[in-house]
Amino acid sequence: MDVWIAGVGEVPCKERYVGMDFREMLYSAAKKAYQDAEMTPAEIDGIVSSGMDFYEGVSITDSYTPDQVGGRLKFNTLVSNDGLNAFIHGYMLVRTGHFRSVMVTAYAKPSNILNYPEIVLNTFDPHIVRPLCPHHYVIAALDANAYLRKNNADAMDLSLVAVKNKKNALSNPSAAYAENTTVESVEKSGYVSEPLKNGHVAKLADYAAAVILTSDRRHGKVAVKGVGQALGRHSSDLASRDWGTASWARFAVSKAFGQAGIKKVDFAEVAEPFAHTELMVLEALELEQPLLKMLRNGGFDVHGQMPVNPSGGCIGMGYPLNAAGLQRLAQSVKLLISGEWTTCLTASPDGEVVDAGSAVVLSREV
Amino acid sequence: MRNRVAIVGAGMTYFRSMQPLTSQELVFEAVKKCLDDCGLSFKDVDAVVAGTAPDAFDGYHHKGLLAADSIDGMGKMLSRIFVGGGTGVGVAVAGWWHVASGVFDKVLVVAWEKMSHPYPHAQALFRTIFEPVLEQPLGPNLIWIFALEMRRYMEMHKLSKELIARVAVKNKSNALDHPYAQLPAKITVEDVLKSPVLVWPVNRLDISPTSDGAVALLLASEHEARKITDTPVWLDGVGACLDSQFWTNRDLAYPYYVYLAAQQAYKMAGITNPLKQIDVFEPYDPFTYKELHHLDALLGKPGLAPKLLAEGQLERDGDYPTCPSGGLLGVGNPIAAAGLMKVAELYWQLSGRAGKRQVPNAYVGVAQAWGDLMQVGQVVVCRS
Repeated sequence: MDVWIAGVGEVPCKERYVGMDFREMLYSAAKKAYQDAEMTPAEIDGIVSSGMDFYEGVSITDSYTPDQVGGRLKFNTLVSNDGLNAFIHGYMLVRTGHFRSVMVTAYAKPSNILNYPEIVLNTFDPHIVRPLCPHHYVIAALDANAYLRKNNADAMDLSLVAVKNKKNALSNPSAAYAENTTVESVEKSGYVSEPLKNGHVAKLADYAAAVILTSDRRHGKVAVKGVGQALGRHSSDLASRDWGTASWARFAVSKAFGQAGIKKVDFAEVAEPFAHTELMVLEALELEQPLLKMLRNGGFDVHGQMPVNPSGGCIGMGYPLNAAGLQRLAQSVKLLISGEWTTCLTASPDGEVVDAGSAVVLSREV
Repeated sequence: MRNRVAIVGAGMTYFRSMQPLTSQELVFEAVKKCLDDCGLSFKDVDAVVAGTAPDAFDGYHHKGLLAADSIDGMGKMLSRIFVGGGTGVGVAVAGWWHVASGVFDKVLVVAWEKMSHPYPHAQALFRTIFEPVLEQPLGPNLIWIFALEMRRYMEMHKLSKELIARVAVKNKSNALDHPYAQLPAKITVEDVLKSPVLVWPVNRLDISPTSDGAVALLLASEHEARKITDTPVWLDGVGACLDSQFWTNRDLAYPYYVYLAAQQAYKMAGITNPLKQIDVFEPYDPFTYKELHHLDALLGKPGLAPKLLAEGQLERDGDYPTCPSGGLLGVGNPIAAAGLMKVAELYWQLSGRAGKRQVPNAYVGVAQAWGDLMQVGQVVVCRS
């Protein structure tokens, strides 16, 4: 069965939405998605939401999901993972043939969170890891260091990623942190944890997105050609981690490409809480040239051989926690519809420093 | 045309305080028993769906990832489904769409809860489920809101405490035959009525216990199921429904959202008359009145369940065996695992493997879980 994206809606990234709570943000995103799809809530058979208790500050996050998106008294479920993982569940629901159209939603309001690093720390083992109080920047820096060593890369390569994404975001009205910056400027931005500098870290942003999936070709704008989600070497004590590698990406991308029956795409949208995350995920792709060579030669720029994060990525737009995957997907759809490209890979890890994640291959049928 | 989905194996831990075992160890034990039950190893599994209720119980952020510590899951899809108290059946519903979509052939669903961690009691954490601006400042707890609902249900159908207490007597007695049960007992209606009143009309013995525990099921596509077992149990109908978060705005006498979820599942499974076509009922029974409240919605007839109870028809040897497992009142209530225990019970009943609990001539069963702010219904219909 073919599954299509009928519409997307989003509330632009912003450092802080004052006077607008998550319900209002989701309402706005859902309303835009319905308008984009030219559908009404009555035409939606189910809702799949992405949410996480500690980010929301409530237990049983899914209680708060149906009212503002037209989901009351409908089939609802909540996936407590990244938004792209939730999207894959929506895709599977439509593929059963029992649901014609399903809405997938995700939002983040990190401006409400007072202790974000503590929350991320609570992903890890309370006896072995937490007593060391590692900030997630430290865990990310271990990954970045290992990546640079394994690949004979230079810390400046991370700055190339950051500069590319911040510049790309200049043409994205949904971006909160677009900037016409330079490698020198990023290099001077100061360490958060060596080798990561301030400019290599995607700043947090409030954001909401809604995407409508359908099996109804009449509403379909972009086809979902393949999906993959995989656990990498995540463990709560970090003991089995393969540092410097997004182990999940190879499996997830391979599944998505295999299902789509293709080996390359026109561009990629990759959620990158840190600059090296983008490079680690791209390692899973079969590229025409060595990855670092392509990066340094501008191969991932908007007009390069394979643009990566032409929307600006999370570094340019802002990192909306578990909504990052749906944020990438919404940008992918908008870029495909704009007509310059035909196929796209969207990928997102299941968290800032989690070795698991999702990949989706999309295609604008021409 | 969607793929038919079968349950081909099940395993569970004891339901009780399982200190010093961790959540990861509980998951490992349930998964191992499940895979041993169907003669497979973890490498045969294509994807994992994890179900567990509030993160606060374990004190872990993103706690679905704890399953990664218990399984050799590299390269496999791992997701966490979370619909409050409905999670246990919800995780089976999610396993269904993994297989019915044709994306996966063999999917492990595992649900767990570790409620012995919170100190002094898990009840304090439930306060964080309430709306932080309008409700949390009032300091509510779950028993208060259930007392409101029970009172409304009693008023609507003119029910006595004596009648409702018979649910506890029945379920705790049924649990005597469940090898993993936490609170099996021979008690009387008088015992229930004399137990301490916590919030009127809720007495101590009207409530299921807090528990630790884990349950795992293996779901398979039809062609894989036939290779694994001669007695697959088919997951022929699923339903899920979520009402508004604003629970204060609806009549608590009837869980319409459970009715709608059941109707989705019945339509998929071809059930038009549940009283005639269903042989085993496993409604969610965290409180005595909830079994009746939910059975009303599963039958689509408000007020019918108490009449059937009064006539003795909900007993294991009655016409409408209800909670033959012993339910949450007898087996225990590790939130997410409790719901999946009900689906496991259908698997054991409909494959003729329920031992002393076996309901004769059981071919079709329904299991249901409920949760959130009195707003979610999750339903599965199984058939042998």
